[in-house]
Amino acid sequence: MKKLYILISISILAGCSHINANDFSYQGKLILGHEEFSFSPCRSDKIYWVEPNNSDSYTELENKYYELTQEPYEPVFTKFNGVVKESQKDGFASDYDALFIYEGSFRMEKYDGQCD
Amino acid sequence: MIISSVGLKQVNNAGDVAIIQQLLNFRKDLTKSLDDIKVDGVLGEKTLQSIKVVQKAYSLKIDAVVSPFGATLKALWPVLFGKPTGYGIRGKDSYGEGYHGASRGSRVHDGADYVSVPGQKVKAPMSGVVTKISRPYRSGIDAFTLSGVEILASDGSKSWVWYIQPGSNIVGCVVKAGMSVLGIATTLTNRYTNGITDHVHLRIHDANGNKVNPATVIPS
Repeated sequence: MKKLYILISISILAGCSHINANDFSYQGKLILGHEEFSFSPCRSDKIYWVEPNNSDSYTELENKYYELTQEPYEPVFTKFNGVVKESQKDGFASDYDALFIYEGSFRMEKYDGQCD
Repeated sequence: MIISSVGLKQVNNAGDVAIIQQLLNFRKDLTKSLDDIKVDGVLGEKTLQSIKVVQKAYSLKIDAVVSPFGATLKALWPVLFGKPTGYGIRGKDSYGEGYHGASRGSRVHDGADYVSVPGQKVKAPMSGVVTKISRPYRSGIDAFTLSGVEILASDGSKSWVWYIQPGSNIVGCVVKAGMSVLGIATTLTNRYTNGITDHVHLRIHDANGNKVNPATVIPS
């Protein structure tokens, strides 16, 4: 019974809206700039063209990126959730391995050269 | 520029015939003794006659046939280049630089950015036919106003001109380098608000898909 109580408590806590580092499925280098919006996951040689799933999340991410960077195309370390989709055949996205559609919240910090 | 052959006993797709008819009308330097051809996609005697005149002028086999990427097509509409905006390549601004090979973060710039003034007419950088509307971005506040076109040349080379509002009915039109208007230059300042120089992005690939530095072919 005690074990069941603990399990239920953990489940309730996990359902809270507070975000911790483990809530993100992807982490890696993000670069945003003119003709560039790329994400390269840690320990991967793939580079994805990034697309938001809505315009509000794009603005939020863009604002945070420019707050943290000084130079064009400076990478930042980012954690977020999203899905990888097939590469596009037109536009800048066609130059990348695939599309990364990110969803909702994210965490971003200055990139110190280490990905993990 | 054409999908199938045009001429005597050929496939003669209406779209392909219409392209050849446009090309022949553009080449009045060769066909001046002949009347203009109605661009209707229907192969007729005037079209066949004009093809023969072109073949004779270039000492080609006179068979009244134009094949995709063949000698007659290349003679009829050679690959030429012209300035898209009349301005030079974008220099350094808050967002980087516009020359071929400039940094784009995880990659290098595969085209060249030609400075533009929003609202100005943008001309074809390469002779060919406009094959489709091409969009550089899928999202963002101006994803649908930042548009462009794809041009296919007679030898299979392709070019893309982005950050323009293409002219209506431009797809399927034959364009002359440095002469034909593709559309109107748009502004990038809605997307990049910290001081970008407005420009059109020009990307060129040769017939094998290799990237070409536009500055090596576009006249300065």
